Order: sequence, then C-alpha cells, then structure tokens
Amino acid sequence: MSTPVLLLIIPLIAGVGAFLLRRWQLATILTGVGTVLILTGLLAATDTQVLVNGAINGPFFDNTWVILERSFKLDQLSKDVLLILYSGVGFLFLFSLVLRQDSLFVPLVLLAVSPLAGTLIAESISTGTLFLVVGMVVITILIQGERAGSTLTSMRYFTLIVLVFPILLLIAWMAETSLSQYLAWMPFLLLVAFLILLFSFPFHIWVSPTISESKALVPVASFGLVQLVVVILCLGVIVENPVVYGNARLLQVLRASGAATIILATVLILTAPSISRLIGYLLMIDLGSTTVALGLGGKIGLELVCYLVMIRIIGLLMAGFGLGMIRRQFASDSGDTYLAFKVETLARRSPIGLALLIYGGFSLAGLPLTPGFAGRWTLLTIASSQYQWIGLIIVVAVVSAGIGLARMMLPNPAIQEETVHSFADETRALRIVAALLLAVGVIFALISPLMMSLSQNLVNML
Amino acid sequence: MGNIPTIYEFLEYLDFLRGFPAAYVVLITASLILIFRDWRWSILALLIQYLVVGLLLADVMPPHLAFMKVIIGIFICLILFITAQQVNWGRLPEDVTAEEAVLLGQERLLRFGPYMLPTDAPFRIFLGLAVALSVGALTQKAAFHLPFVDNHLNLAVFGLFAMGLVIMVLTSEPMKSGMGFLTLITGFELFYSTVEQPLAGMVIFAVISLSIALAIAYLTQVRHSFPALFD
Repeated sequence: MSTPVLLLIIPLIAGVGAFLLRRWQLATILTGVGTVLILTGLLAATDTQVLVNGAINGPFFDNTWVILERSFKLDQLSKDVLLILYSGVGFLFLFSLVLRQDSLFVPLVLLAVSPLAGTLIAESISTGTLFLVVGMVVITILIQGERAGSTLTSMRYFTLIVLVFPILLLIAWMAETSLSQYLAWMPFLLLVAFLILLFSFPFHIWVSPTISESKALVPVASFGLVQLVVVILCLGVIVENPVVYGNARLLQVLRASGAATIILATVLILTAPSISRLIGYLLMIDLGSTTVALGLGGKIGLELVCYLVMIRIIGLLMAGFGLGMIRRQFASDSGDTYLAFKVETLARRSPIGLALLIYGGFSLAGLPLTPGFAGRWTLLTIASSQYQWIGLIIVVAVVSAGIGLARMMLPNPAIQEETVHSFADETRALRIVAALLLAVGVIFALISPLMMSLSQNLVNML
Repeated sequence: MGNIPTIYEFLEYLDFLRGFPAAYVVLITASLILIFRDWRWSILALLIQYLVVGLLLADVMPPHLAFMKVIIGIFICLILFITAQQVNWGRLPEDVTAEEAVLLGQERLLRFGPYMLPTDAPFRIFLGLAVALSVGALTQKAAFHLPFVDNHLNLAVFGLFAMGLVIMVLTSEPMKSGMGFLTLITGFELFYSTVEQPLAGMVIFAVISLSIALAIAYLTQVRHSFPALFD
C-alpha cells in the first residue's frame, strides 16, 4: 500500500464525512482528530530510510507513488514537516472544541490537508504548485466561512492565488527544462512569487482584514500552517537554483519589501481602531520580518525563515485563541472587536483571554520573554551587522508594537459601562485550555534553541 | 439514425474557424465578459470561449485531450449557471424590495435612444476595445512573441491574459471576478500546453479550473445570501 496515496485520500474522505456530520460539533471534531491520528500513525509506520540496495519500501507501506509520469515520494523532510502540519491541525481541532468555530471549519481544514500534503510529497515543482494552489483555494473558502455578506477579503486572497499560479508554473518549467535563454527571467519571477506568497508589500493588503473578518482560529491555518508548506516549497526551489537565489538584486528587493511591510505595520499599529486590526498589523510585522530574513540570503536566511514561520504558528494560536475568548464577551461573535470597551471590564471578565491575546501579540511582535523573541533577535543581530537600517526598522517596529498593545490596555474614561455589549460566560474548560496554551507559549519561549535546531535540520534536508 | 461525427470530423467541419479566426473569437468573448454586466450573457460568452479555446488547443495537443478541455469548460459554465440562477443572477430576490435590501443597490441605468444601459457600459466598452487593440498591436512586435507558440495562439494567450486581468481588477463581485480568473487561467493554459506534456498540463488546469469554479460558486452564494441582504 502506498503511503502518498493514503496521505492524499484519507483527509479527503474524512473531510466529506466531517461535512456530512457538521451539525454535530463533537462528532465532526472527533472525525478530524481521528483522521489526524491515523495520518500520524501512517507516517510513523512508513520507513523513509534508504536501504543498501537503494530500495525504500517498508514492510507495510511504500513511500513512493507514480501516476501520469508524476512521482510522489515521502522522504524524511516531508515526513517531518507533515508531522508538524498534522500536529498543528490536531491541536486546532481540539481547541475548536472549547472555542467554537464555523461548522465548516473542520471539514475545510481536512480538505485542505490533502493538497498541502501533496505539495510536500510531490517531486516536481509543477505538481507541487498544483496541490498548493488547490489547498489555498480551500483556504479561501475557510477564510470566508459561513459569514454572509462581504467577500472582499477572501476575493483578495483568491486573486493573489490566481496570480501566483501561472508564475509558479513558469518557474517550474524553467527550472525543469533549464533553458539558458529563459533563466534570466527566473529571478524576477521568483521575486514576484515570493512577495505574493509571503504577503509582503505590496501584496499585504488583505492580511489585517482576514484577522478581523474570519473566525479566531482561521489565521493559524492560513498564515501559519499553509505558510509552512509554502516556505518549504519555496526553499526547495531556492536550493535547486542557488545561482538564481544568489542574485543580488533579488535579495535587495526582498529586503526592501520586507522592510516596507514592517514600516507600514509600525505606522498602522499606532492608529489601530480595533483589537483584530492590531493583531493583523502585528502579524504584518512578522510577515515582513520573514521576507527580510529571506532577503539576507545564504543558509542562515533559509533557516531563519523556517524558524520564524514555525514560531508564528504558536503566536497566532495564542493571539487567535485570546481574540476568540474576547469576542465571546460580545453579544455577536461576528464583526470586529472595537476598542469601545473598558479593558478593566475585560480583564475582570476574561483575564486569561486578555493575557493570552497580549502574550500572543507580543510573540508576533518579537518582544522579549515570548516565543517570537529569539527569531526576532537573531534577525536583528544578523541584519544589523550588514544592513543597519533594517536593524533600526525592526527595533522601531518592536517598540511600536509594545506601544500599540499598551494603548489598547490603557483605560478609556470616555467609555461608559452601558456601551459594552452583553457578556457570555466563560466555561471552565475554556479557561483551562487557555491557561495551558499560555503555559505552552512560555515553554516555547524557553526551548527556542531546540526550535532553531529543528529548522536547521529541515533546511539541511532540502 | 445518422452517425455521430467523430472529433476529427468536427475539426474538419470547423476548419474555417481555426487559426486567427478562433483567436479573434476568443478575444471578442473575453471582451464581452468584461462589457456585459448581466451574468447570463457573461456565462454564455464564457461558454463560447471554452468551445473555441478547444479549437485552439487542438493545434497543440491531441484532439481528444482538447475535447476534454471543452467538456471541463462546459462543466464550469454549468456550475456558474446553476449558482447564478440560485442567487437570481445577482439581482434582488423577487419578493424583496429595494428598501428592504440595504446592501444590494439598484443598478443605475441611462437611456441611450430606445435602450436602457448601465451607466458604466460606455466605460466598459471603451476599456474592452482599448485592451483588445493594445493586445493586437503589441503581439505584432517580436519582443512580445512567446516561445514555441504560433502567431494566432500568441494573440489568444495575451488577449485572454490581459482581459482576464482587467476583469479581475474591475470588480470584487465573485461571479464576474471569477470569470476573470477563469479567462486568465485559460490564456495561460494555451501557452503552457505548448511547453508541457499535454496530458499532465490538461490535468493540472482541469483541477485548478474546477476548483476555482467551485470556490466562486460558494463565494457567490454567501455574497448574495438572504442574511447578507438584511445585514
């Protein structure tokens, strides 16, 4: 039995099953968690070590599959990344038990897992592109969810996917044919593809509205888990074409775009009208930092990119969960959470939610004592040694993030208690999970060297 | 009972349309998608586009694969048609008045002689003509000639790509913007089919196009759902 086939088919079947069960939240979530456990078990049972005679077939499961002259192979790199992906998805499902999401959340995430796995196990870039784009199309629907009305945010995301698809296919064609007369175009195409896929300036415009308009845990999938797969695909292209990646102009524009994203986010943070937008701008700082890291070039840049994306998942999980808990304090959980409330009220009604939101926001900004600090500090030290202006921008961004979050926490005497919407009681389970998540965040802040060595291992395997 | 003609006989029958005539028809259909606001006419134009693109693809891949592309295009148009019908073609439901539906504004109309046309119709016609003429002029130059592609295909590729881009950026309405996505993807497919294995390329674009159509259908439904009307 071929593992790649099962990795592609099982989530699809489970997704359809979860869709049919969507009226019963517990059954849907159990389907999702069960699927993740099965997939993880499948990975564990598949041997990826090359034997002496070159064969890689395990006793029960093969790790290769060929169809229409396209091959899929589960190697150690894709196995490790898939484990991270499935872990993240599994925790998302578990958290959705206490922090209710759309009825389509679990089915759509399962449906997205299949093509994302296909992206990682496809051996050719063009096949990986196909699966990545299909996965991102599913994420488009996840972003919209069951929210009726404006589709602006999801359409913007959709537009970016459609624009990047031909570019990636062209890159794949150029890389696979290696025709010298077209290789000159490759850096330019790579640049545009990176800027779109990493949501850097000028393709950043949809980031903040996504946080505002989608459910609390959706950004973890769209900006965390999907981004991890995107980064691995991009790093694979880079490693196969080191000369192209070494193009000085390409790296320069990447650094400039990342810096522009950070600057824009820095300015917007100081005037953020709502908590959701604030988190969105903090995320933009992280996205810009990732692009700057890619623009540093070399192996260290690639390792840093990988690390930043993995840590972003933790930050988004904490901030998203906290945001979801705070949104529950309003009568309706649709729409934005404007700063038309007393922080003291929230701190009294949802202290852990507020703490989680702030800590997650700090992590996205890269403030000290958070999981995001190590990556930001490493980026700062490396960037400052070569490009002082980038180091200055990062420092100003981090300070601005702190000011933005502090601004949110300042008491607002103009707001009367009567203007606050009705409250929803927090369940004990919600508080326990939130506290655990906070503890996990602190642990990740302490084990940052381990996470860095994990990202180094992943890059070494490319 | 007469025999059903084979694909090759169909191609022979439509031989007069192959080459530059097909490229011009494709360009016209893309312009019509841009110009028409009425979804019925736009979907019809998209359907004709897919039928004629099949003819163009028959120049670069085996005819039976090009025929599969036409079938997929018909499925896509069917998905869009059913979706559009379910949301009353983007108009207000018949039992909802304009005062009740706060989100969907009435389309502004101007009288041109005996006809009532949308106010932006002259702009769209001008834009369509401008893009078509620009594409026609640019593809005459050697610098805009794509590798491995014949002249008429070159015109069709650039025409579809440019029109698709313009349609995409002109509106955020999922149905119309989605047709722009599909037009752009079709244009790129014409080029990619010449450089990649035909079967693999066809599968890639079939999956992507169908995924886009399904996503567009969903987004259109939520955009025009009843809760959205009264929000």
